[in-house]
Amino acid sequence: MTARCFVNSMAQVSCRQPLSDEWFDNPCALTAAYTRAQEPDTKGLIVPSEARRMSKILKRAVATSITALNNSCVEQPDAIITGTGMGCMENSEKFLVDMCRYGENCLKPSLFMQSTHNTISSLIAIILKCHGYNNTYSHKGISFESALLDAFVQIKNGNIGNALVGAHDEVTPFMALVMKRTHPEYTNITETSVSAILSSTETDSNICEITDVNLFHNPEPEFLAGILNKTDDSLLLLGVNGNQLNDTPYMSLLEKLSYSPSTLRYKNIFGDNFSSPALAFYAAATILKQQRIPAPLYCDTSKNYTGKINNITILNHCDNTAWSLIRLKKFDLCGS
Amino acid sequence: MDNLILQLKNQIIEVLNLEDMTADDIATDAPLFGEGLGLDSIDALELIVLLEREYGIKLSNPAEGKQIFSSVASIADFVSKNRKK
Repeated sequence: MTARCFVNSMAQVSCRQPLSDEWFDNPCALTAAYTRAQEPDTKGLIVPSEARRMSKILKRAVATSITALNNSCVEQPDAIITGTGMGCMENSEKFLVDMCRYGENCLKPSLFMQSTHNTISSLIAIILKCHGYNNTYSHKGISFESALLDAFVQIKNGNIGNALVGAHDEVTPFMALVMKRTHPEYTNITETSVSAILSSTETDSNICEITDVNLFHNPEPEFLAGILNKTDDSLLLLGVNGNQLNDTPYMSLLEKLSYSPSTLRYKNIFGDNFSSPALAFYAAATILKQQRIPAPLYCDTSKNYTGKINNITILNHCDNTAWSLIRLKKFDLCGS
Repeated sequence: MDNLILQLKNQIIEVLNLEDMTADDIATDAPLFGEGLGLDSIDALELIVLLEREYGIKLSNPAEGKQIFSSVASIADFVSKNRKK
Protein backbone atom coordinates (compact mmCIF):
# COMPACT_ATOMS: atom_id res chain seq x y z
CA MET A 1 0.00 0.00 0.00
CA THR A 2 1.86 3.07 -1.22
CA ALA A 3 -0.66 5.87 -1.83
CA ARG A 4 -1.64 8.24 0.98
CA CYS A 5 -5.18 8.86 2.08
CA PHE A 6 -6.25 12.39 2.96
CA VAL A 7 -9.48 13.85 4.28
CA ASN A 8 -10.23 16.66 1.87
CA SER A 9 -13.57 17.92 3.15
CA MET A 10 -16.31 17.02 5.62
CA ALA A 11 -19.87 18.01 6.49
CA GLN A 12 -22.12 17.03 9.38
CA VAL A 13 -25.74 17.06 10.46
CA SER A 14 -26.24 16.29 14.14
CA CYS A 15 -27.78 17.84 17.23
CA ARG A 16 -25.44 20.78 16.55
CA GLN A 17 -25.71 23.59 13.97
CA PRO A 18 -26.01 21.64 10.69
CA LEU A 19 -23.45 21.89 7.88
CA SER A 20 -21.30 24.08 10.11
CA ASP A 21 -18.31 23.96 12.49
CA GLU A 22 -20.07 26.40 14.83
CA TRP A 23 -20.13 23.79 17.63
CA PHE A 24 -16.33 24.03 17.86
CA ASP A 25 -16.54 27.55 19.32
CA ASN A 26 -19.56 26.77 21.49
CA PRO A 27 -19.34 23.09 22.48
CA CYS A 28 -22.01 22.92 25.18
CA ALA A 29 -22.71 19.51 26.68
CA LEU A 30 -25.89 17.57 25.97
CA THR A 31 -28.32 17.05 28.84
CA ALA A 32 -31.45 15.50 27.27
CA ALA A 33 -31.77 11.72 27.06
CA TYR A 34 -32.92 12.01 23.43
CA THR A 35 -32.15 14.84 21.02
CA ARG A 36 -33.05 14.87 17.34
CA ALA A 37 -30.79 16.30 14.67
CA GLN A 38 -31.12 19.91 13.56
CA GLU A 39 -32.42 19.76 10.00
CA PRO A 40 -30.25 21.42 7.34
CA ASP A 41 -31.55 24.00 4.89
CA THR A 42 -31.62 21.95 1.68
CA LYS A 43 -32.48 24.82 -0.66
CA GLY A 44 -29.80 24.98 -3.29
CA LEU A 45 -28.63 21.46 -2.41
CA ILE A 46 -31.65 19.33 -3.33
CA VAL A 47 -34.15 20.00 -6.12
CA PRO A 48 -37.60 20.46 -4.45
CA SER A 49 -39.26 17.95 -6.79
CA GLU A 50 -36.71 15.31 -5.64
CA ALA A 51 -36.80 16.37 -1.99
CA ARG A 52 -40.54 15.76 -1.63
CA ARG A 53 -40.03 12.00 -1.80
CA MET A 54 -37.06 11.91 0.60
CA SER A 55 -37.29 11.07 4.29
CA LYS A 56 -35.28 13.00 6.88
CA ILE A 57 -32.25 10.70 6.78
CA LEU A 58 -32.12 10.86 2.98
CA LYS A 59 -32.27 14.68 2.97
CA ARG A 60 -29.55 14.84 5.61
CA ALA A 61 -27.34 12.34 3.75
CA VAL A 62 -27.72 14.14 0.43
CA ALA A 63 -27.16 17.55 2.07
CA THR A 64 -23.91 16.46 3.79
CA SER A 65 -22.71 14.63 0.67
CA ILE A 66 -23.32 17.56 -1.69
CA THR A 67 -21.82 20.04 0.80
CA ALA A 68 -18.70 17.91 1.31
CA LEU A 69 -18.37 17.46 -2.44
CA ASN A 70 -18.85 21.20 -3.15
CA ASN A 71 -16.10 22.03 -0.62
CA SER A 72 -13.67 19.46 -1.99
CA CYS A 73 -11.16 19.13 -4.79
CA VAL A 74 -13.24 16.27 -6.25
CA GLU A 75 -15.91 16.78 -8.91
CA GLN A 76 -17.16 13.20 -9.20
CA PRO A 77 -16.21 10.57 -6.60
CA ASP A 78 -14.71 7.28 -7.77
CA ALA A 79 -16.67 5.47 -5.05
CA ILE A 80 -19.57 6.07 -2.69
CA ILE A 81 -19.29 4.05 0.52
CA THR A 82 -21.84 4.36 3.30
CA GLY A 83 -22.17 3.08 6.84
CA THR A 84 -25.52 2.93 8.59
CA GLY A 85 -26.54 0.94 11.63
CA MET A 86 -30.28 0.97 11.06
CA GLY A 87 -30.78 2.47 7.59
CA CYS A 88 -33.98 4.36 6.78
CA MET A 89 -35.79 3.79 10.09
CA GLU A 90 -38.56 6.35 9.61
CA ASN A 91 -39.66 4.84 6.30
CA SER A 92 -39.27 1.29 7.65
CA GLU A 93 -41.53 2.13 10.57
CA LYS A 94 -44.18 3.70 8.33
CA PHE A 95 -44.03 0.73 5.97
CA LEU A 96 -44.50 -1.78 8.79
CA VAL A 97 -47.35 0.24 10.33
CA ASP A 98 -49.03 0.36 6.90
CA MET A 99 -48.55 -3.39 6.53
CA CYS A 100 -50.32 -3.98 9.85
CA ARG A 101 -53.11 -1.55 8.96
CA TYR A 102 -53.73 -2.32 5.29
CA GLY A 103 -52.24 -5.78 4.73
CA GLU A 104 -49.75 -6.65 2.01
CA ASN A 105 -51.85 -5.63 -0.97
CA CYS A 106 -52.11 -1.90 -0.47
CA LEU A 107 -48.65 -0.56 0.39
CA LYS A 108 -47.08 2.72 -0.67
CA PRO A 109 -44.35 2.17 -3.29
CA SER A 110 -42.14 5.06 -2.12
CA LEU A 111 -41.87 3.61 1.39
CA PHE A 112 -41.10 0.18 -0.06
CA MET A 113 -38.33 1.56 -2.29
CA GLN A 114 -36.84 3.84 0.35
CA SER A 115 -36.79 1.65 3.43
CA THR A 116 -33.72 -0.47 2.68
CA HIS A 117 -30.29 0.18 4.14
CA ASN A 118 -28.61 0.80 0.79
CA THR A 119 -31.20 3.37 -0.28
CA ILE A 120 -28.88 6.12 1.00
CA SER A 121 -25.79 5.17 -0.99
CA SER A 122 -27.75 4.47 -4.15
CA LEU A 123 -29.76 7.71 -3.96
CA ILE A 124 -26.55 9.74 -3.64
CA ALA A 125 -25.16 7.88 -6.67
CA ILE A 126 -28.31 8.60 -8.70
CA ILE A 127 -28.21 12.31 -7.83
CA LEU A 128 -24.47 12.58 -8.60
CA LYS A 129 -24.82 10.32 -11.67
CA CYS A 130 -21.92 8.32 -10.21
CA HIS A 131 -21.59 4.85 -11.74
CA GLY A 132 -18.53 3.86 -9.70
CA TYR A 133 -18.11 1.47 -6.76
CA ASN A 134 -21.10 1.72 -4.43
CA ASN A 135 -21.39 -0.13 -1.16
CA THR A 136 -23.19 0.01 2.17
CA TYR A 137 -21.98 -1.41 5.48
CA SER A 138 -24.54 -2.10 8.15
CA HIS A 139 -22.59 -3.37 11.16
CA LYS A 140 -24.31 -1.73 14.13
CA GLY A 141 -21.84 0.54 15.97
CA ILE A 142 -18.91 -0.03 13.60
CA SER A 143 -20.75 0.68 10.35
CA PHE A 144 -18.85 3.92 9.74
CA GLU A 145 -15.47 2.38 10.49
CA SER A 146 -16.25 -0.51 8.11
CA ALA A 147 -17.05 1.95 5.30
CA LEU A 148 -13.95 3.99 6.14
CA LEU A 149 -11.75 0.87 6.13
CA ASP A 150 -13.04 -0.10 2.68
CA ALA A 151 -12.28 3.37 1.26
CA PHE A 152 -8.89 3.56 3.06
CA VAL A 153 -7.67 0.22 1.71
CA GLN A 154 -8.87 0.94 -1.82
CA ILE A 155 -7.23 4.37 -1.90
CA LYS A 156 -3.98 3.07 -0.37
CA ASN A 157 -3.89 0.26 -2.96
CA GLY A 158 -4.53 2.67 -5.82
CA ASN A 159 -7.82 1.04 -6.84
CA ILE A 160 -9.55 4.41 -6.54
CA GLY A 161 -8.27 7.98 -6.29
CA ASN A 162 -11.00 9.32 -4.05
CA ALA A 163 -14.22 8.34 -2.30
CA LEU A 164 -17.30 9.85 -0.73
CA VAL A 165 -17.61 8.12 2.64
CA GLY A 166 -20.63 8.70 4.86
CA ALA A 167 -22.31 7.50 8.02
CA HIS A 168 -26.00 8.12 8.57
CA ASP A 169 -28.42 7.06 11.29
CA GLU A 170 -31.78 8.48 12.26
CA VAL A 171 -33.47 7.65 15.56
CA THR A 172 -37.26 8.00 15.58
CA PRO A 173 -39.08 8.59 18.90
CA PHE A 174 -40.21 4.95 18.89
CA MET A 175 -36.70 3.69 18.21
CA ALA A 176 -35.37 5.93 21.02
CA LEU A 177 -37.80 4.23 23.40
CA VAL A 178 -36.60 0.81 22.26
CA MET A 179 -32.93 1.82 22.47
CA LYS A 180 -33.34 3.02 26.06
CA ARG A 181 -34.29 -0.56 26.93
CA THR A 182 -31.92 -2.44 24.64
CA HIS A 183 -28.93 -0.09 25.05
CA PRO A 184 -29.05 1.30 28.60
CA GLU A 185 -25.39 2.27 28.19
CA TYR A 186 -26.39 5.11 25.82
CA THR A 187 -26.56 8.31 27.90
CA ASN A 188 -27.73 10.81 25.26
CA ILE A 189 -29.38 9.29 22.19
CA THR A 190 -28.94 11.44 19.08
CA GLU A 191 -28.80 11.23 15.28
CA THR A 192 -25.85 11.45 12.88
CA SER A 193 -25.16 12.26 9.28
CA VAL A 194 -21.53 12.78 8.34
CA SER A 195 -19.98 12.81 4.86
CA ALA A 196 -16.30 13.03 4.00
CA ILE A 197 -14.34 13.24 0.79
CA LEU A 198 -11.20 11.12 0.98
CA SER A 199 -8.54 11.53 -1.66
CA SER A 200 -5.02 10.42 -2.49
CA THR A 201 -4.23 13.86 -3.91
CA GLU A 202 -1.95 16.16 -1.93
CA THR A 203 -3.55 19.58 -1.97
CA ASP A 204 -3.42 22.49 0.44
CA SER A 205 -7.17 22.14 1.05
CA ASN A 206 -6.68 18.76 2.78
CA ILE A 207 -7.81 18.70 6.41
CA CYS A 208 -5.73 15.78 7.66
CA GLU A 209 -4.33 12.39 6.70
CA ILE A 210 -5.68 8.99 7.69
CA THR A 211 -2.71 6.83 8.65
CA ASP A 212 -4.46 3.79 10.10
CA VAL A 213 -7.90 2.18 10.29
CA ASN A 214 -8.33 -1.04 12.25
CA LEU A 215 -11.24 -3.16 13.41
CA PHE A 216 -10.93 -5.76 16.18
CA HIS A 217 -13.30 -8.46 17.34
CA ASN A 218 -13.26 -9.17 21.08
CA PRO A 219 -9.73 -7.88 21.70
CA GLU A 220 -8.16 -8.21 25.16
CA PRO A 221 -7.29 -4.84 26.79
CA GLU A 222 -3.64 -5.99 26.85
CA PHE A 223 -3.73 -6.49 23.08
CA LEU A 224 -5.07 -2.98 22.40
CA ALA A 225 -2.70 -1.46 24.97
CA GLY A 226 0.20 -3.21 23.22
CA ILE A 227 -0.74 -1.51 19.95
CA LEU A 228 -0.99 1.93 21.58
CA ASN A 229 2.22 1.47 23.62
CA LYS A 230 4.18 0.81 20.44
CA THR A 231 3.30 4.19 18.93
CA ASP A 232 2.90 6.25 22.11
CA ASP A 233 -0.29 8.01 20.91
CA SER A 234 -0.41 11.11 23.10
CA LEU A 235 -3.97 12.19 22.23
CA LEU A 236 -6.74 9.61 22.47
CA LEU A 237 -10.30 10.46 21.47
CA LEU A 238 -12.53 7.92 23.22
CA GLY A 239 -16.19 6.92 22.93
CA VAL A 240 -16.80 7.46 26.65
CA ASN A 241 -20.21 8.81 27.65
CA GLY A 242 -20.25 8.86 31.45
CA ASN A 243 -22.12 5.57 31.72
CA GLN A 244 -20.20 2.87 33.58
CA LEU A 245 -21.50 0.10 31.31
CA ASN A 246 -19.99 1.90 28.33
CA ASP A 247 -16.89 3.42 29.93
CA THR A 248 -15.39 0.53 31.93
CA PRO A 249 -13.71 -1.12 28.90
CA TYR A 250 -12.00 2.18 28.06
CA MET A 251 -10.78 2.57 31.65
CA SER A 252 -9.46 -1.02 31.66
CA LEU A 253 -7.51 -0.22 28.51
CA LEU A 254 -6.07 3.04 29.87
CA GLU A 255 -4.85 1.22 33.01
CA LYS A 256 -2.77 -1.08 30.80
CA LEU A 257 -0.95 1.73 28.99
CA SER A 258 2.71 2.31 29.75
CA TYR A 259 2.31 6.08 29.28
CA SER A 260 -0.21 8.72 30.28
CA PRO A 261 -2.04 10.17 27.26
CA SER A 262 -4.40 13.15 27.18
CA THR A 263 -7.85 11.68 26.72
CA LEU A 264 -10.65 13.39 24.81
CA ARG A 265 -14.35 12.65 24.44
CA TYR A 266 -17.06 13.65 21.97
CA LYS A 267 -20.28 11.95 23.05
CA ASN A 268 -20.96 14.65 25.66
CA ILE A 269 -21.26 17.04 22.69
CA PHE A 270 -22.68 14.82 19.93
CA GLY A 271 -24.41 11.99 21.81
CA ASP A 272 -24.76 8.32 21.03
CA ASN A 273 -26.09 6.37 18.07
CA PHE A 274 -24.77 3.67 15.79
CA SER A 275 -23.08 6.24 13.52
CA SER A 276 -21.65 8.48 16.26
CA PRO A 277 -18.04 7.27 15.65
CA ALA A 278 -18.26 9.28 12.40
CA LEU A 279 -18.67 12.39 14.56
CA ALA A 280 -15.53 11.40 16.48
CA PHE A 281 -13.75 11.26 13.12
CA TYR A 282 -15.19 14.65 12.19
CA ALA A 283 -14.30 16.18 15.59
CA ALA A 284 -10.72 14.86 15.45
CA ALA A 285 -10.26 16.16 11.89
CA THR A 286 -11.59 19.57 12.99
CA ILE A 287 -9.17 19.66 15.96
CA LEU A 288 -6.23 18.87 13.67
CA LYS A 289 -7.33 21.59 11.27
CA GLN A 290 -7.97 24.22 13.97
CA GLN A 291 -4.95 23.18 16.10
CA ARG A 292 -6.82 23.63 19.36
CA ILE A 293 -9.01 21.53 21.62
CA PRO A 294 -12.24 22.95 23.11
CA ALA A 295 -12.18 22.49 26.91
CA PRO A 296 -15.39 20.35 27.16
CA LEU A 297 -13.73 17.70 24.99
CA TYR A 298 -11.15 16.86 27.67
CA CYS A 299 -12.02 13.86 29.83
CA ASP A 300 -9.64 15.16 32.49
CA THR A 301 -8.87 18.88 32.33
CA SER A 302 -5.82 18.35 34.56
CA LYS A 303 -4.21 16.61 31.60
CA ASN A 304 -4.65 19.36 29.01
CA TYR A 305 -2.51 18.89 25.94
CA THR A 306 -0.11 21.75 25.34
CA GLY A 307 2.07 20.68 22.41
CA LYS A 308 1.50 20.93 18.66
CA ILE A 309 -1.37 18.67 17.70
CA ASN A 310 0.14 16.31 15.15
CA ASN A 311 -1.81 13.07 15.68
CA ILE A 312 -5.10 11.95 17.18
CA THR A 313 -6.03 8.32 17.74
CA ILE A 314 -9.76 7.54 17.86
CA LEU A 315 -10.90 4.52 19.85
CA ASN A 316 -14.49 3.31 19.95
CA HIS A 317 -16.17 0.09 20.96
CA CYS A 318 -19.63 -1.34 20.37
CA ASP A 319 -20.90 -3.63 23.15
CA ASN A 320 -17.22 -4.17 24.13
CA THR A 321 -17.15 -6.66 21.27
CA ALA A 322 -16.29 -4.69 18.15
CA TRP A 323 -13.48 -2.16 18.61
CA SER A 324 -12.19 0.36 16.11
CA LEU A 325 -8.96 2.33 16.00
CA ILE A 326 -8.46 5.23 13.59
CA ARG A 327 -5.32 7.34 13.43
CA LEU A 328 -5.42 10.82 11.96
CA LYS A 329 -2.39 12.98 11.30
CA LYS A 330 -2.11 16.74 10.79
CA PHE A 331 -1.73 17.57 7.10
CA ASP A 332 1.30 19.53 5.95
CA LEU A 333 1.73 20.14 2.24
CA CYS A 334 5.02 18.61 1.08
CA GLY A 335 5.72 17.52 4.65
CA SER A 336 5.14 14.29 6.49
CA MET B 1 -68.68 17.02 -6.52
CA ASP B 2 -66.93 20.21 -5.38
CA ASN B 3 -66.33 18.70 -1.94
CA LEU B 4 -64.89 15.53 -3.49
CA ILE B 5 -62.57 17.57 -5.74
CA LEU B 6 -61.29 19.58 -2.76
CA GLN B 7 -60.82 16.40 -0.74
CA LEU B 8 -58.91 14.74 -3.58
CA LYS B 9 -56.63 17.75 -3.99
CA ASN B 10 -55.76 17.72 -0.29
CA GLN B 11 -55.18 13.97 -0.36
CA ILE B 12 -52.91 14.25 -3.41
CA ILE B 13 -50.88 16.99 -1.68
CA GLU B 14 -50.51 14.85 1.44
CA VAL B 15 -49.78 11.52 -0.27
CA LEU B 16 -47.28 12.96 -2.75
CA ASN B 17 -45.66 15.35 -0.22
CA LEU B 18 -46.25 18.34 -2.45
CA GLU B 19 -44.68 20.73 0.05
CA ASP B 20 -45.55 24.42 -0.19
CA MET B 21 -48.70 23.64 -2.26
CA THR B 22 -52.33 24.20 -1.36
CA ALA B 23 -55.52 22.91 -2.98
CA ASP B 24 -55.90 26.29 -4.67
CA ASP B 25 -52.60 25.76 -6.51
CA ILE B 26 -53.94 22.69 -8.33
CA ALA B 27 -56.18 23.50 -11.28
CA THR B 28 -59.05 21.01 -11.44
CA ASP B 29 -58.76 20.41 -15.19
CA ALA B 30 -54.98 20.77 -15.54
CA PRO B 31 -52.93 17.68 -16.49
CA LEU B 32 -51.28 15.94 -13.52
CA PHE B 33 -48.51 14.17 -15.43
CA GLY B 34 -45.87 15.61 -17.74
CA GLU B 35 -47.01 19.23 -17.70
CA GLY B 36 -49.08 20.70 -14.88
CA LEU B 37 -47.97 19.14 -11.60
CA GLY B 38 -45.27 17.14 -13.40
CA LEU B 39 -45.97 13.87 -11.61
CA ASP B 40 -44.16 10.67 -12.60
CA SER B 41 -44.81 6.90 -12.70
CA ILE B 42 -44.10 6.41 -8.98
CA ASP B 43 -46.69 9.09 -8.21
CA ALA B 44 -49.15 7.14 -10.36
CA LEU B 45 -48.59 4.10 -8.14
CA GLU B 46 -49.15 6.27 -5.05
CA LEU B 47 -52.45 7.50 -6.53
CA ILE B 48 -53.57 3.93 -7.20
CA VAL B 49 -52.89 3.10 -3.52
CA LEU B 50 -54.78 6.27 -2.50
CA LEU B 51 -57.90 5.22 -4.43
CA GLU B 52 -57.83 1.73 -2.93
CA ARG B 53 -57.30 2.87 0.67
CA GLU B 54 -59.63 5.84 0.77
CA TYR B 55 -62.39 4.85 -1.67
CA GLY B 56 -62.17 1.07 -1.88
CA ILE B 57 -61.48 1.23 -5.62
CA LYS B 58 -59.16 -1.40 -7.06
CA LEU B 59 -58.02 -0.59 -10.60
CA SER B 60 -58.48 -3.87 -12.46
CA ASN B 61 -57.39 -2.52 -15.85
CA PRO B 62 -54.10 -0.57 -15.68
CA ALA B 63 -54.74 0.78 -19.18
CA GLU B 64 -57.58 2.86 -17.75
CA GLY B 65 -55.12 4.66 -15.49
CA LYS B 66 -53.89 7.10 -18.12
CA GLN B 67 -57.38 8.50 -18.66
CA ILE B 68 -58.46 8.35 -15.00
CA PHE B 69 -55.37 10.15 -13.72
CA SER B 70 -55.27 12.79 -16.44
CA SER B 71 -56.61 15.50 -14.09
CA VAL B 72 -58.24 15.98 -10.69
CA ALA B 73 -61.58 16.37 -12.48
CA SER B 74 -61.24 12.97 -14.19
CA ILE B 75 -60.23 11.29 -10.92
CA ALA B 76 -63.22 12.85 -9.14
CA ASP B 77 -65.54 11.66 -11.91
CA PHE B 78 -64.15 8.11 -11.70
CA VAL B 79 -64.31 8.05 -7.90
CA SER B 80 -67.88 9.32 -7.75
CA LYS B 81 -69.01 6.52 -10.09
CA ASN B 82 -66.98 3.65 -8.57
CA ARG B 83 -66.37 4.37 -4.89
CA LYS B 84 -67.19 1.62 -2.41
CA LYS B 85 -66.68 3.72 0.71
